Amino acid sequence: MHNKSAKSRSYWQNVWIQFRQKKVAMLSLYTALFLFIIALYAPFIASRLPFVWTDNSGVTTYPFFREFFAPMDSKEKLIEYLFNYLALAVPLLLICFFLCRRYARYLLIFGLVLLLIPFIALQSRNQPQDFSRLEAAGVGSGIFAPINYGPYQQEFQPKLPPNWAQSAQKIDKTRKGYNLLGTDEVGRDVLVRMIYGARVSLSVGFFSVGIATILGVVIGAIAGYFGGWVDIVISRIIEVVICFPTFFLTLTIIAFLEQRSILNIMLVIGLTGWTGTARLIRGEILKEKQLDYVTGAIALGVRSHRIIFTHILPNALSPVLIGISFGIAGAILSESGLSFLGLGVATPTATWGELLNEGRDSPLSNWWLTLFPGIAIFIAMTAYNLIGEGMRDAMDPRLKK
Amino acid sequence: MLPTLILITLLSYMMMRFAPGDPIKSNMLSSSDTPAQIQEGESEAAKQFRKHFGLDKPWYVGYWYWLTGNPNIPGSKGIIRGDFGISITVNLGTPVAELIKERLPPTIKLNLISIVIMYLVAIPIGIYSAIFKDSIFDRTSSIIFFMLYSLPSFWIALLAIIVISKYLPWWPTSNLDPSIPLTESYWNVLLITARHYVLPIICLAYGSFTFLSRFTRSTMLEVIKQDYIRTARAKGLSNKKVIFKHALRNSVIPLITTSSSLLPALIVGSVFIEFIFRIPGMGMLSFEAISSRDYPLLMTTAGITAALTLLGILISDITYGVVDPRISLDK
Repeated sequence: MHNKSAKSRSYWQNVWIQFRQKKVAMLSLYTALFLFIIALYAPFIASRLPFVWTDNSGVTTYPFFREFFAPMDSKEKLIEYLFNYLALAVPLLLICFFLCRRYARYLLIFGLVLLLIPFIALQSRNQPQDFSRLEAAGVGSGIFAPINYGPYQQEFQPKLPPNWAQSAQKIDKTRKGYNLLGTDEVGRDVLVRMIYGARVSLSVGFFSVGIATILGVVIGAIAGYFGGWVDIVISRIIEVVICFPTFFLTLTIIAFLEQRSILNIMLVIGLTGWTGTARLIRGEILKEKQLDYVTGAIALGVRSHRIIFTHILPNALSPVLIGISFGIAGAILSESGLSFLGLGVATPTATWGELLNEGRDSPLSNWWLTLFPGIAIFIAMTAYNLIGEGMRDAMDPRLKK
Repeated sequence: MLPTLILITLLSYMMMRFAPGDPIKSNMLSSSDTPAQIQEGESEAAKQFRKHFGLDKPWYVGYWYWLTGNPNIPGSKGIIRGDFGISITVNLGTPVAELIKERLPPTIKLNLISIVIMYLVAIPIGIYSAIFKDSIFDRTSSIIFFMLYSLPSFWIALLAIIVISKYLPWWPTSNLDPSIPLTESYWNVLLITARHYVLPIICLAYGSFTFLSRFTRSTMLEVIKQDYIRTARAKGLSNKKVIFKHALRNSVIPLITTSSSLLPALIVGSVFIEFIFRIPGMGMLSFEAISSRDYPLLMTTAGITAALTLLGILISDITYGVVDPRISLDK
């Protein structure tokens, strides 16, 4: 009787309960979510375009949404499109699952498709105007985001310290949230670039680890399940990839690429990082393969890919999840390291590492360019590392109370 | 092992040659060249250069030259006879071996010292937090170490430079081996040199504390649970004796074997630390080689790291067998 409720809990529910008890892990989870939300809603926090603009003749336009549905400013359009789409899709997802569970599936699919339409339909854009200056000049009025300038325009004097560290400054009255963290080498606001940089830095973390995990799981599963010469060949390949000096491989590939794009960086980090997962999965599957339930499945005539992916893998998944969390932190570090050395994304794109790179040459006079982006990297990495550690504790069967 | 090494170098060479950009562009493109001249195509000198170093040949011929020696270069014997080749961009005409001999000492010194410090700091803390598992010390040290682990070393190095040059302007923030006048006394020389080492070593070492101490902690926890520890306690040994004589010895074994994985880092060192503190070491050399496409130099550094990684794996396999006779090497 005493463990009736405990019995009905699944493994993952147990893990979640264990995880929830750890304050540090939960705090890290909230921090990671917070960073993710900032990345999603970056344009709503800082944009130079007003949401609604009414000029003096009474014509109302929506400049912000034109840019939002068809991002033109950034070089990494794919990421902008993805995050803008997600910014609308995530609330929809939440609404579907919390408010109307009954029709959730249909509503979700319908909504997701519906959301795609403006992204496809809206292509062109008016010539960008400086709406906040226009408003100051009395040409019209609009509703602006909390910070009314973007990450790519060189709006300010270069190398301005944070406004609270300046003794005297000429405040530009048309600019809200003026230079809280200073400006960079060419006069772009550091805070805004950090907010937009979260998009690139976090997506590098997620996608490169995604690539690495999928590759690692598939390759490791194949090696472990089939054994024999397949295993020998794959183990040899893993050995070769491990012995490739990873960071130098990354550096070499990226230094040699002429077209610097965030996709390349994701690919490189992903393609060099799969070996750990592959070895882990291989080992787990070698172990699980001996167990009776697999023999049973084979005896029932289940196909091998089905055995691997629906019977064995769920049992071997927990170390992979831990690896993903640590991997995201590692990928964020790799990206910022590469950007720091000047081998990161192409110039106008903002990432945390790229901001550090701008402050690299004269750290003394531009201390804010070093301090604040580094804090962002540190917070993100700590959050993901501590989530990983929390998961490790929660999933460790030996620690179960 | 040897086939793996050959495969790695072959792949590296292939990748390098297929990648865009080439040494001639980064070498011959001096400031006097106008864009129009570059448009015109390669000059006679560039063609000569290409031919001399075998860059006009396909990649597999180039790799063969790297292995067995380039017939165009007198005295070139190839890697199989211990000739690393000649640098083609970083320091044109200098043998790669000489460049490496010059750049190796600072990196080795830096890394050896920081490895020693890593072990000295991380292992006692790991042991202590294993003995007092879930104590306040264990939990706080774990969080602090995870935060340290999440601090990018290049960021900390930059911050250290900012803070130190603002508040301790006499403290050195670049270079490792300063030129000290001969008139200084022995202790002064030692002090000045030591001062130069402090920052780079801290920046290199702190990131590895986490891994090592967590690793020590988990192996120690594993050992403490064993039957023989219970036996030792049951026969009335003091806590000190149980921990230091029975538990510690057995939990240090995996640590020794993991240390072999630090071998490659010894050579390549840390690009970031050398970059920021302006230390002319191997990391800087490799970075220069990459950015100016110095193929022979790159091949050497990549080959050495690969060889050392393989060696590290081999050593750890062998030491596993030696320290734990239950693991046999021949199946």
